[in-house]
Amino acid sequence: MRVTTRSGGGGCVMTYHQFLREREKIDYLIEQGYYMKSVKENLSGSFVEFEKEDSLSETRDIQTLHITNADARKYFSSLLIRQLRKHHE
Amino acid sequence: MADLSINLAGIKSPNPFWLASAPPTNSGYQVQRAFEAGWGGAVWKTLGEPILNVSSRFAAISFNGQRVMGFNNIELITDRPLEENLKEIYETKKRFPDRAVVASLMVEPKREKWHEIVKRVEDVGVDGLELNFGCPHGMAERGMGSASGQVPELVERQTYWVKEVARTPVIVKLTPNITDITATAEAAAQGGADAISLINTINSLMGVDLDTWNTIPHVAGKGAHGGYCGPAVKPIALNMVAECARHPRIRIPISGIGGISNWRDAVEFMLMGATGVQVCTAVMHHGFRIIEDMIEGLNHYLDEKGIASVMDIVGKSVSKYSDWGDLDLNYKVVARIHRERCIQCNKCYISCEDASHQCIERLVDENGKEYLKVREEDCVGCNLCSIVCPVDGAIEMVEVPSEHPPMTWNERQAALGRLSGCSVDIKSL
Repeated sequence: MRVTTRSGGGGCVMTYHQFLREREKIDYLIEQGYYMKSVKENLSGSFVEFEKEDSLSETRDIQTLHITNADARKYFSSLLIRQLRKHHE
Repeated sequence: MADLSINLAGIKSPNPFWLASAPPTNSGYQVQRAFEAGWGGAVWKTLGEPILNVSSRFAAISFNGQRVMGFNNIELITDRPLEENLKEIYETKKRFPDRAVVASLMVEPKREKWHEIVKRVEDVGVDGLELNFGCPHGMAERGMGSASGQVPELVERQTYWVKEVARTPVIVKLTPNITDITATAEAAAQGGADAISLINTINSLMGVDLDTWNTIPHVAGKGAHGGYCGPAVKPIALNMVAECARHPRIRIPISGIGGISNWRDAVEFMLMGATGVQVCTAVMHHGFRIIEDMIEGLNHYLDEKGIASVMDIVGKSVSKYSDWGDLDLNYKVVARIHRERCIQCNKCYISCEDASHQCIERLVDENGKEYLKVREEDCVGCNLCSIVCPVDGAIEMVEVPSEHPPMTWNERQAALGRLSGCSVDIKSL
């Protein structure tokens, strides 16, 4: 079925794409072996600090993501709970 | 047929439907006619020192064709001597021994006043007492009613005085005109109350006449706040009943009051913790015979559910009522519009576009026919479109499985708190 949009839905498309972009960044760091080290929240949203330890070179790399999207904040929070549970296992 | 009888703190009645203390329970003539119609109990219009009333007394709000959506009154307690009321209570109880007759009482906050009226009322054979700490108008200006009911210490102390002499169960009727009704409910329990009833009426001014600029109602051009009740207050009352029912230090039965108009409303209150319900406005609107539908409807409901006794539903939904912080943030529903039922009124589109998250699109299919579709990835599941939709079943809210396990706000905050360098407020760990 071929459809054409007459109108509507302007505002939220941006929000969903913003979620996808932020989720992608989170997933990328997790895939690279980073874990969430700290979260600072203020009027601008969440600043999630990711850390990756290199045991060979004994260095630590820190990346900070500014998460502004509400669904992305839920997303990293769910991953954080999973991370903490794994840590305690 | 299910067993509809209830036992509220020792007060038994053949069904959970009582008349609330109000104009319909002003006299023996009225209460006996109510019992003939089938009501299970009645809380007699509040007894105390006979008062003087004004004229006029009532007003109502109609909304979109629904008459008496909300109701307001500035009538006070009984205007008849105690002896007259007691004689009629005695006669009523003698004629209807199986029905619950509860006397609503209101006196000055003095120990001897409470002792005197309790003894005199119990001598005529009432099944219980209801202390009126809720009436918001007139009597409150004299230190009684809600003026007492807004101060937990006064609720506790007066309940205690009554319990010193009472031989029948004592129900404390609470005012909703307070920030946290559980504070006064707990005070009642501390004072020894056998049960609580709620809610009494809400402070209200029904309106202002645009031509005369008088209040509605007015008394010779002047008005005063009244007590609001009727279907419009039901959600407020239901919340307050539920908050009391789930409170760990309020472990006494609840008589639910507030906008109950049919058997469905009654079931909701009972599921949320009320052992029985009291009705007023619906009777003032439609008369005593609404009880027939209420009993029949409740019976059918229980039979369909296979429930033998109405007491078995009491409180069954209380555990489902929680704090916002304990709700699952990962639970998600989205709206789905069924084209075959949609009448293309665009109400959903307008409300979503103007007041929600702009996730409904107006599309045209290959035949040039317009239709509406929800972009589910953008839908936040607010329900607004299904609320404004005039066609039942045209918009369905559908659960979307989450990729993550349930996560509450409290769990999230606890998790953040366990990380180093956290700078968020932590409610619990």
